Amino acid sequence: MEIDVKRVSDLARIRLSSEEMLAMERDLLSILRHAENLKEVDVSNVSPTFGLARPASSLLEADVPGPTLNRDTVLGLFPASKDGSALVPKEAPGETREGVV
Amino acid sequence: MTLEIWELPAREIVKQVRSGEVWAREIAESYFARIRETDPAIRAYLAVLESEARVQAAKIDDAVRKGEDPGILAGLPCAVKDNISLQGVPCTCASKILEGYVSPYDATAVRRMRREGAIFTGKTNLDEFAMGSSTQNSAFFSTRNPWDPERVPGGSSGGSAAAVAAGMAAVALGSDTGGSIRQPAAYTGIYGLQPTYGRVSRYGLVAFGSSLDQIGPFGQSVWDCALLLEVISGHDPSDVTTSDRPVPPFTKRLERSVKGLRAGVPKELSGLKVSLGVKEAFVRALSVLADLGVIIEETSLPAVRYALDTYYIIAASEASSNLARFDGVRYGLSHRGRSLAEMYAETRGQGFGKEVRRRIMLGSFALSADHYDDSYLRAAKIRTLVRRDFDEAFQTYDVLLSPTTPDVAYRLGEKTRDPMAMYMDDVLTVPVNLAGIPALSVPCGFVAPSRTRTGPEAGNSSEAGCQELPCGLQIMGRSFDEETVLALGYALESEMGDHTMKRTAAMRQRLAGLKEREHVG
Repeated sequence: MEIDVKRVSDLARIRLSSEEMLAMERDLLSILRHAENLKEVDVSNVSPTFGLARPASSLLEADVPGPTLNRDTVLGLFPASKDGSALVPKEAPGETREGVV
Repeated sequence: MTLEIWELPAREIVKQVRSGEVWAREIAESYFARIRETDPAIRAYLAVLESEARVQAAKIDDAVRKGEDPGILAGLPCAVKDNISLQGVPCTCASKILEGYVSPYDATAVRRMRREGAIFTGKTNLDEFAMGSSTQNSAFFSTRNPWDPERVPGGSSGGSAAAVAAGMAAVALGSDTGGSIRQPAAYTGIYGLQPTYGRVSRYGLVAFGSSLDQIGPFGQSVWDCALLLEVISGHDPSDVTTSDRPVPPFTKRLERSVKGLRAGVPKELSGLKVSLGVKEAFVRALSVLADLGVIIEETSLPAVRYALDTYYIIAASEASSNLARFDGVRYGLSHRGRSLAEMYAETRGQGFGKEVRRRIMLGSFALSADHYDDSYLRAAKIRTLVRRDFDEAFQTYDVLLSPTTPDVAYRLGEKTRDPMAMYMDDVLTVPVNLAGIPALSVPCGFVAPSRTRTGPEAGNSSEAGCQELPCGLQIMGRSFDEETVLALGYALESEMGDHTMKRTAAMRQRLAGLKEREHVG
C-alpha cells in the first residue's frame, strides 16, 4: 500500500514540514493497513448510509422574521475588519495588498 | 458530618433552590470554592465563568424571592464542554486555531438549560475538536483523572467528566461522536448518556462528524442524566436533523419495573479485547441485573467487528469537510500568506494539532477521487450492515449490554505514539454512533489496572494512592427508547450506586489532601 502524502496535504490545505510528512505517512499507513480488513466484506447490493436524519414531519418553517446577529458581532468573528467590512486577502492578479468584502 | 453544599446531589440542589431553602448564589459560591481548591490538580476547566454565573444566580434568587418559577434546573451548576457555544464566551475546542473566537450565540441545548435556571460554571477541556479519547490532544494541557491524577480521564469530553467526578460541577454537557461521553464517564466513575441521533439539537455544537455527533449529559446518577435529557431534547428549527417526536418525562419513568426485560450481550463486544478485571466486573453486574428479573442472553452482531475501521473512515471524512471552514479568513487564527491557498495551508498547518491534521488528511484521502469508492463509500455501506445487525437484535432484545471500555483509565503519555492503539479504546462505543442509537454508561465496579497494558513500571508510583479504578457498563437501546435504557440504568444504580457513591466521597476527600500536599511541597 502506498500513499502520496504531499498530494493529500495539498487536498487538505495543510502545510507540513518534510519531517511531519514522514510521520504522517507512517501514521496514515498504520490506520489504512488496519482498515484493509474492510475489503473482505461483501458490499454488493448494499446501499450506503450517509446520514441518520429522521427529519421532522414538516421541514417548512413559518415565514416570519426573527432576530439576527448585528454587524459588530459578525465582524468580531473575523481576524481582521475595517470600516464595517471584513478584511480578507485580495486574490486579483498583480496585487498583493489586502482587500475588503 | 455535615455535607458541603457542593456535595449535595443535583436533585437536592434543585429542590432546595426552588423551595427557597438555599440560595442559588450560595450553591455557586460553594462550587467556585471547590473549583479553586481542586482544579489546580485536575485541570478540568479551560475557563471558569464566575461573574457570568453570579449574574445568573442572582436572577434565579430574584425569581424565587418574587414567588416566580425559577425553572426545573434552578441553581444547578453545569460545566460545558468547550466545543458547545455559550453566548459571549470564548469557544476554543481546545485548538489554537480558534483562539480569540467568541461564540455569538447559545447552543440550543445551552439556551434550553439556561431558560430552566441552570448555572454554567465554565468551559471544560477536551481533545482538540473532540478528536481523541484521553483529553491529551488538547492544545492547552491534559486533564487528569480524579481517581488517579497520573491517569487520563478519558475523552474527548474528559474535562466535563473530571469536573463532575471531582465535585467541581453537579452535572455537565459533553458531546459524543464515537464514545466521547460514555468512555470518560466510565473512566471517572460517573453516568453519561449518548442520546439517539436526532433527539438533541446540534445547533451551537462545533461540528466534527455531523452524522455521528450528539450532545449529551453527564451526571452523578441516572436521574441527573434523565433530567438534563428532558430539558435539552426536542425538535429545533435550527437543526433539521432533530426529530419532532414528543419528549417523554424521563425522570418520571425511571422506576419502571425491569423484570422480564430482554437483554442481549453481543459476544463481539465482550470478547477478547476486554481486560480480565473489566470482564469480571461486567459479569457481576449482569448477575445483579439477572437477580432483578432481567432475561440475559448472548447474541451476535457480526458486522460490528468492522465498526472501528468503518467509524474512523466516516468520522475522518466528515471532519475533513466540516473543518474546511477553518481557513484563516474567518474565526481566530490567520497566517496571511502571498496567496489565498498559502494562507489556508499555513493557517491550518500551524493552527491544527497533530491528531486533527491526521484525521483531516485521512478524510481527504478517503474522499479523494481515486480512493472514494474503496474507502468512504465502502465504509458507508458497511455502516448499513452494522445498522442492520442492531435492527435485527432489537427485534428480539429490548436492550444490548457490553462493558463501556476494554480497560480502565491508562497513564498519561501512554498510547500517544501509535494512533491505532488509541483508536482501539473506542472499539466498544463506536458501533452505537454508527447506528445512531441511545446508550448509557453506568458505573459497575472498581478494577485494579491490568499490568499487561501498563508496562513494566506498573505496580509502583501512584498505585499506593488508588489501587482500583472505576469501570462502566454500557446499556444500548432502540432508537428513541432512552426510557428503557434509563430505567435499566436506574435499576442497576439502585443496586450498585451506594458503593460507587461511598468510593467517590473517599476519592474527593483524597483530592483535598492532594492539594494540601502541593502546598507543603
